[in-house]
Amino acid sequence: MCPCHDATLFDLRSSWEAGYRHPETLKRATAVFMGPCQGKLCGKVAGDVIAALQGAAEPEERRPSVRPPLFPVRMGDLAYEDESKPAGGAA
Amino acid sequence: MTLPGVATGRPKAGYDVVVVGAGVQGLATAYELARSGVTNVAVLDRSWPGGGASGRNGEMIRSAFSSREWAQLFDLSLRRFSELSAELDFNILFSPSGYLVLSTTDEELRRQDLVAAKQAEYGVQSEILDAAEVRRLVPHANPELARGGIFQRRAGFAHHDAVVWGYLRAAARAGVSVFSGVDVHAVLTSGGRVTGVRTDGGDIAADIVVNAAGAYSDDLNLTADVHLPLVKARLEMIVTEPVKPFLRCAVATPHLLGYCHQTARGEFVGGTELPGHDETDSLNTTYHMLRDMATKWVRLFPDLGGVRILRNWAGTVSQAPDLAPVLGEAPGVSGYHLSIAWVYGFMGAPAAGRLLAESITTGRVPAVMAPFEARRLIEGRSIAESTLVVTTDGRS
Amino acid sequence: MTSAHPDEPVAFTFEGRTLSARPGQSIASAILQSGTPVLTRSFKYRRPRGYTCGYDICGNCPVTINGLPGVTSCTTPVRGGEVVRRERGWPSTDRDLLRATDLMARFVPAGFQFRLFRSRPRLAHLAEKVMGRVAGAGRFPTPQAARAVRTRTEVDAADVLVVGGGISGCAAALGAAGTGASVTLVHPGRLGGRANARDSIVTHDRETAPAAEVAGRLASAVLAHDDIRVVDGFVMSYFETGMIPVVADGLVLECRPKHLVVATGSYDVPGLFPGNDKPGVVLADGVSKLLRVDRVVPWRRAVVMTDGGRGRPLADQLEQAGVEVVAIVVQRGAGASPEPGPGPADRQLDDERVLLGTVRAARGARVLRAVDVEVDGRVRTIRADLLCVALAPRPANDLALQRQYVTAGTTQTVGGGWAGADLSASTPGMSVVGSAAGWTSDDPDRAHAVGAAAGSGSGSTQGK
Repeated sequence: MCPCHDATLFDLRSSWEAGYRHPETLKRATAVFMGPCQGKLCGKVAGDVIAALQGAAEPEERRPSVRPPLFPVRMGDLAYEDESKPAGGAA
Repeated sequence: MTLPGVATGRPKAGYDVVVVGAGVQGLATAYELARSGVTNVAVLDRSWPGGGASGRNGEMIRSAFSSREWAQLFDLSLRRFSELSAELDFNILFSPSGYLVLSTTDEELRRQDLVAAKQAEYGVQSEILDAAEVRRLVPHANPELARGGIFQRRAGFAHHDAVVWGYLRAAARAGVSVFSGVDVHAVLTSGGRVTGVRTDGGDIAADIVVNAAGAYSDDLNLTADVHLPLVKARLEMIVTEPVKPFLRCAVATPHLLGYCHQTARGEFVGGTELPGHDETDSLNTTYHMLRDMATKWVRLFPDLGGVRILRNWAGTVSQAPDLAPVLGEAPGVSGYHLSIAWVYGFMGAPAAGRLLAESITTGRVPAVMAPFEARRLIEGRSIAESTLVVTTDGRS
Repeated sequence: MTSAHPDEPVAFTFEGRTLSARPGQSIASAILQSGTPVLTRSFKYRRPRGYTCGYDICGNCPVTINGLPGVTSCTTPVRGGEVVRRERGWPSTDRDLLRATDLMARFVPAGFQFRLFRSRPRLAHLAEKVMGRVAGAGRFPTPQAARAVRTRTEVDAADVLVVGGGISGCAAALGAAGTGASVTLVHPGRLGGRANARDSIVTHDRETAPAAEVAGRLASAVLAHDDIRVVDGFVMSYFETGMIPVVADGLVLECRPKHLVVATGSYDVPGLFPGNDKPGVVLADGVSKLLRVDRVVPWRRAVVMTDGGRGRPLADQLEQAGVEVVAIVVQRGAGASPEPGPGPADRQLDDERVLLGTVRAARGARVLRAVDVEVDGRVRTIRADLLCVALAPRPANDLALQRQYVTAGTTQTVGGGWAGADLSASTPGMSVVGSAAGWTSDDPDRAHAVGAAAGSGSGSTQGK
């Protein structure tokens, strides 16, 4: 279901049964949307599963937030080289 | 329902106690109230329990602070954290891996002996580390910055969602009703006494109302005509992909304004701050904070330069000028209790929940809690704590 | 190390072996070509994982290259001289003894850790440490590799930022540049994107040609254009104040364009059945890319699974490459009706390979060996080493959603977003083109027009 964190359909359904009935809490219970793909791969299927559990065409609630970065980025690719430069001065 | 333990249906017309906010403060307070026999309690939250700062913080726990007030409050919390899994019948994944307050400057190095001596006086065990000892403890740290530190061995971190879920389930089992999706618009008062709350679904009567509304607690106070000098602030964090274990303990660096730890899964989780607070309601993250975090963490742990950031998120708090929490009955409104202004709220919740419940049920303010009462802010007194990773610059 | 002649094979080291590859071919494709289908192991159950998406979406192919872990091997080209190792598995990624944990999956479902050892804190702490080691955290970068990741920061002053360099993105960039606006186009890897591996017929400038050809022509025009800066990298996010940082090799570009054109394309959608993560189960665009761009054919017998019109073109590509397509499974239910248009619909029943049914499981101990297909209530096991999942893709809407968050002031008030909020319409300062906007076929002329509107809008504010 979610290859990043090995969350299975069984995990999703059993967590739902246990009461994690909101995309955000289901996410925190099963770790879907939280791996390297951040929902790019599993998002659609997870949405379909939640919708099916709700008996709807699309989940009633919004999908978990799309957070930065859109693709994993190395810390060294974001670190300022010059320590004297006040980090954040650019923004 | 949004989580196991959340009530189905609508709230009743009245309760003995209404707690506003199902974050870790509200749930811990409700649980402790139920434990001492007050079970006609409703906890109301406009979103899902733990959806605010309770589920967005750095998960770190210590009691080795420089002031008596902080050390004693948080030492009670630390003791509670080590008991909670068994008591709540839910493993909160408390990991007593140790907590290092890193000295990166000469000044911090000079001061650490004094701070540790004070901690010993307060009954908080801590160890003074020199540069060689710090390097042994955190071998990946940049030796230029790892000058020394104060290490608290029995401190560490726990899983923030698990703490919320554990309190929630235990409170529900004890008879507390926790509601998700109920928005509290106002605290109702009459003749200097609290009478209940106004929600989007109507009024609910209660003789006791607890404000545990996190970032929104000041908004709620204003509806009860309680005026405290609080400001909202946004805090941001990052998490990386899992890497092999390289950092055993939790680390805070007051000078760099950073705090971090590595989870059992191997993810590095860290947050930093910049001087001046970021006053906003927004849960969006900012570009300059992301660059700041990357810059500081790569400086402190150069090998992290090659590790990928997976996610960056934000949370909001409402904070007091001295950055200490406000605990206890609100001035001028009897029956209206506050557990607000938390910046180290996850860390302090187990103690605060117990102390506040005790003061509500007995009518006596426990000595450990007394210094944190709201009166200090009105009278302009502050609690001086020097080992916080949070900034007071930009205002006074 | 890099070869002087562009087509001369180059060599790299993979776990002690020397592998040969065409320069530019992806690392993953070269490893697959050498007969190694397992690229990594999964995080919790140590399940074998292999090449899946081809476009840095799925996280199933990270390897360690020159001491740097977590490098996406499906999008990283071979340059020659690299030292490549797989990351997870003990004693090796091929044979992982800890794979046993998978067999206990039912006993360690999500959340098991909250129930285990709750009354035995010491034991819980120990178990957590052990789990931390076992649950296969990847490697740590070598100090040299980590310190080599450095960056400089530059401000990009382009009027228009185009994100994505497929057919739509290239056409939009040309359209914007045609109005006199300065344009920055960001795209990871070779321009053309998914279209480089597509056979569908595209109309552009009143002429028709295969998508790959049109993509090539547009890419050449973009590269030749003086007012279009092409950056090989990706957009990190949309931030408050309109800041859109672009991360490239050793460079962060701080973009604050007057107009943003989102041409991020689409994501392939996986199927939901047991074993859908097995090496050998590959998403449609990943299959096309391996065959057409990397020019590697690591399969012999394929089953294609589809819910609409993508199955047959994939089957044709596979057969042209010499792969026997034994079945095209048209999923019962959603979207199985034939689509109008010149191409034959997947459902066309005069083809004996077509089965109206449902994929029930992907079988094989380590890699795919067979596919269970249910037809009319009976399950048939079909031997295959490739299951190509060709379902309707979904728009890659993440960047556009982030812009909506910032416009709304917080992430919390923006709804939906599951399938791709309605991104078809342009909003002030942003246009969405191509499959990111839900267009079902390539339309470079339309994208060009959108780009031109974006360019003239942004140019006029500058008095151009």
